[in-house]
Amino acid sequence: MANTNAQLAYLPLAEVAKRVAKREISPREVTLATIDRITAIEPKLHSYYAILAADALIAAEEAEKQIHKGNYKGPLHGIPLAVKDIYESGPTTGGSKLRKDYIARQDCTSVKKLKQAGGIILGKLATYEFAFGLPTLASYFQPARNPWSLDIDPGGSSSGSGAAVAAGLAYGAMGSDTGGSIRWPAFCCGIVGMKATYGRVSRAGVFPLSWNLDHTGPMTRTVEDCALMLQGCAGYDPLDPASANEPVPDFSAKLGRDIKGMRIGIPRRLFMSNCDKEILTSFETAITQMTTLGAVVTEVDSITFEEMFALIWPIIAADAAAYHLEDMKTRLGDYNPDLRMMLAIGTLVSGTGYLQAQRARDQVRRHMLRQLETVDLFMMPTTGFMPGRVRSEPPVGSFLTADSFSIYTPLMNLTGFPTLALPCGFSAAGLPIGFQLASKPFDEATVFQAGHAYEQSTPWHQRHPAL
Amino acid sequence: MNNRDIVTARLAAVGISLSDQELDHLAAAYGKLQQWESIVQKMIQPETEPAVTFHATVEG
Repeated sequence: MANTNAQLAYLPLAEVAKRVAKREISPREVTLATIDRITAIEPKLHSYYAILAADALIAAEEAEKQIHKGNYKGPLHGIPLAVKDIYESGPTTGGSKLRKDYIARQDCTSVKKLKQAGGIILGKLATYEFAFGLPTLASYFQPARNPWSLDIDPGGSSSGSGAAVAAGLAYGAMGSDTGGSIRWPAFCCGIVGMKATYGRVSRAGVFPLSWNLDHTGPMTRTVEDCALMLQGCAGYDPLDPASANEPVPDFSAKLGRDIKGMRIGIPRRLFMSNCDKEILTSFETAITQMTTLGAVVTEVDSITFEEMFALIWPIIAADAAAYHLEDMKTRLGDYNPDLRMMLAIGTLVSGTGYLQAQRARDQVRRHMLRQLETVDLFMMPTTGFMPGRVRSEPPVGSFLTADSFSIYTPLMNLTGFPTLALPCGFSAAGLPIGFQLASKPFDEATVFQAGHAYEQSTPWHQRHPAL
Repeated sequence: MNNRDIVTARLAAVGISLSDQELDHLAAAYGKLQQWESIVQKMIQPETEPAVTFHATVEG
């Protein structure tokens, strides 16, 4: 079954949308094919917590009727999508025993918007517990597996979103990103992920991790698909206090334009001390490719990796502990060991320590805004380490304090700048490698332009895992 | 007080108790938190903040 529908499953969202619009294929056919593929592959991938097949087929039939009547809504109409299981919509567990029976009374804003755009919601996707705590084979919910190698972690916390999209079990998925949780699984699974500008996509009805740093956004297999999906979920929402009342431009407007003369800054000081050689080699090759495409690449100053970690983790841990404090007092044993530890760390962050981190964070953000007067984009590796095996035991202490967790995504959570993660190669072991592009607030279109130019000049987006 | 005693007391103050093994891990993590606070303190550049830039602008 998996082989028979792989060709359709791995088509870009944009291509399926064209066929749906031309009525060459119906939403019901695409949805049924995707459900068949999920049924065949999911037992070994564990990317979905809930498959909402009946609701999806009803929605697909309705989409088909509307399109037949001439009421085509746009590129998401009739397209099977899925959402991380911290988005309120039907059964919503947060990947935690604490919410295992929770059923949302209504859809969160992002799901409402995707449905209004005609998207078909196939189901709810695996997540690290409450978008923070590493799952293990002993956890209440099975950890998702990496479709490129089923023993390997797909990254997180949007682990199911990364795995399902890479495996062709959805044409796009929503993830969330507080310190890198869209971009890290995008790296590990060889797909594209957009952490849009802070406030660009509503978080109303999404379980919070850190009110200060939480971003939501799409994960897809191509840059164009990512722009189309962001179009469907972006926009002001009065239900989210951090939502930005900014105009929503056409995110695809600059796709296909060249990047001659575009100025790209490399904040090398951030990642030089601890980036894996294989990742660094792929990244340097990507820089060369950008130069070949006409970009002007320069080095820019940056905070160090150590400084970035010192800024972000106390904020995330303290915010998370504040949100979970009541459950921690009464149901601490129901959290996975890793999250239990990290929440406990959060209670130990001092008030002055927290505020000094926010103070320094603001200085870093203002410094980088000034840098964006001399460069158009920042470019850096997504992480400095390759993912390990799915864990059977919880880490000793917490992954936040482990020296090996060299992830470079948190910098753009601190700044709130729009950041795109995309593939730039494969390791000798056959696992994907990727990098990030970031630009000034609310300029997602330029990030997509540069990412698309790179993607279309390289073969990485054409490779898919053999399942 | 050593880190373990501090951690135990702070958790008790918010109504949380952990196992001995978890407290050992947390004591080490608390040391890391203190290192981070020290790093952040060195990052602060008061000369870039409004109270100082105001004076620089007004007084020249």
